[in-house]
Amino acid sequence: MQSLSRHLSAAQVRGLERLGDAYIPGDEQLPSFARTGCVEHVDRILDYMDSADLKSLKLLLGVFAYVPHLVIVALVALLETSTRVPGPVGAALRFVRMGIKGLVVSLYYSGYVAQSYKGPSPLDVLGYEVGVYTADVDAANSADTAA
Amino acid sequence: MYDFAIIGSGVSGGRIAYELTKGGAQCVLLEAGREFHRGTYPGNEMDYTTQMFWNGGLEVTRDGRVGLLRGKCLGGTSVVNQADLDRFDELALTDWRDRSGCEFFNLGEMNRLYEYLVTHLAMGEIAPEHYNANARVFLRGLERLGYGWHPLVRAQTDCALAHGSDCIVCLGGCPRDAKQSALVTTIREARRAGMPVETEFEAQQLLVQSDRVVVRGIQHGARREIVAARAVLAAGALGNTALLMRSPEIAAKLPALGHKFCCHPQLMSYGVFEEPVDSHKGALQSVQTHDERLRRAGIKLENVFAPPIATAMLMPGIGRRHARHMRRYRHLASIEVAIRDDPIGRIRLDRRQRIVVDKPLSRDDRGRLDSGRQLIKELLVAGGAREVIECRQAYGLHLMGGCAIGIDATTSVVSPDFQMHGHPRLWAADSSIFPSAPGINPSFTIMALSYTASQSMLAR
Repeated sequence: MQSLSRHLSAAQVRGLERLGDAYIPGDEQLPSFARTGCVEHVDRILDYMDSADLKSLKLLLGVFAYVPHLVIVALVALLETSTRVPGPVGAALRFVRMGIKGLVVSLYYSGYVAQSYKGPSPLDVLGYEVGVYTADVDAANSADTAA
Repeated sequence: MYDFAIIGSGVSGGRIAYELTKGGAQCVLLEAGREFHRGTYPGNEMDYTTQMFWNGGLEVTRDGRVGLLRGKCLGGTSVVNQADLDRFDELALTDWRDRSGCEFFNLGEMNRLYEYLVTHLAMGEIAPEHYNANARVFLRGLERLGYGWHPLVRAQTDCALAHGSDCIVCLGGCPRDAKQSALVTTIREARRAGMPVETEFEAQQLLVQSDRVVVRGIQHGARREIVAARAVLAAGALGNTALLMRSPEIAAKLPALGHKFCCHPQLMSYGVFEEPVDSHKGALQSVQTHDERLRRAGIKLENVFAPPIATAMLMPGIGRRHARHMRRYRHLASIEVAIRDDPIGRIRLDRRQRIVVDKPLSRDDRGRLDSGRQLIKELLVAGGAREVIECRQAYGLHLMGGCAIGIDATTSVVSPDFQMHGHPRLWAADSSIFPSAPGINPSFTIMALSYTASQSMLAR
């Protein structure tokens, strides 16, 4: 089966979707991580990831493709408590949390969705609409260029 | 051969490049990141975080307790920060003078430098009528609890707030160039004067020879060397320290290299309000505390907010709890506490030559953060919040130290004339030379020190 990522195998993509759904299973308003199809855009992150970190991530996602869903949920719940865990174990948990939560929420709250996805994007649900007025500087630059 | 190779293009590198080029020196500016401009900033939060920050914005201290953000693009962190410009006070300068032995750390001398910069920079405050609802919540809390505050001074021109600009966008680069980053000020001017810029050049090692410095690096996957009579290290606390550590012959003469790291650890807390606050709209940051009690306690509070990905990283919980927090995004206001932390951190390299930051929070640091968090809770409640969400993930706001300035070569790296001890061809004047955390935004002082250093370089 062909993967939608240049970096991840199809199984690893499935592992990422299962991990994402453990963090963001969706509710009456927010779609689940997997449902948005945001994983289609994972290479936008992985293209810039350190090679050693990418190797570790691929290993982890490969495991997540096969372990029971409840095990993944239990793991991410444990990681969320890692701020209170002392010593090297706590440090390791916080590292893992930073990496995998960062990946999941970056993809999900980027607003990028699958082409086939028809529902509201997570940013629409949040009501996140922002912009910067540039008409005046655009016009000034055009005038400069013309001159 | 260039007169100067300047490594790093942020506030310090840009200022030094400008002053040296204006003074007639032949310089080259080296930047590890890419060049963006107002028409090419990625825009999307995920894209700018991965493309404009080192390691995709996911660097942390060795114990994983403090996230570290540093810009990786032409213009450095000045492109992606909030452009705050604060003057150091007597407390900060006395501490620096005591620690470094440098007599020029005094109000008279620093004010002279700040005044010079004021005439060369567009600066301003957000007008009160443009304070957004988040700022008003903060001010309501401060006034009810009796704490002083003042407006933030920022390097900015016209943000077009009256036309509905949302400055949260500018965390990924300002689309109207209102933010006066090094990219649109000093670097632009130095380029106009003929200075070449090499982007995506990652400096790996320095070799100091009798009449020159060789900067070895990687550019577009190929090895490359740049040769100059002198090198200016302006790659920040982590960048400068790592570069020197990867240059064993230089590092051998610098026993204090990597010491005294500090980072103004910051925590945010969110208040949940009945009505939408829309903290992401309008002026992102406009006021900060200005209160002697808090200053003495090493605590500074500011109104600030974060876009969705950063907010999701900070929000506790998973599943429905996380979703519940995020769905109320428009109903959130937030305040941050940043502390004046003890300079006990260490920067080093691991076996793969990757940067490791040992940055334990001292008991005092933890106490400052707890006090600040408690005060934020009281402020948010006084401001009308019906619930307060406390975040546990700290971020280092300003990365400082590693190449501390001082008169003693056994306890510092950079001498009072901004040259490395024992290496007169190497200079630095950025945040890496800070001997301790000032508890004040460092940008204006980095500019001031960089201006002073550039005058010394030209004089020699």
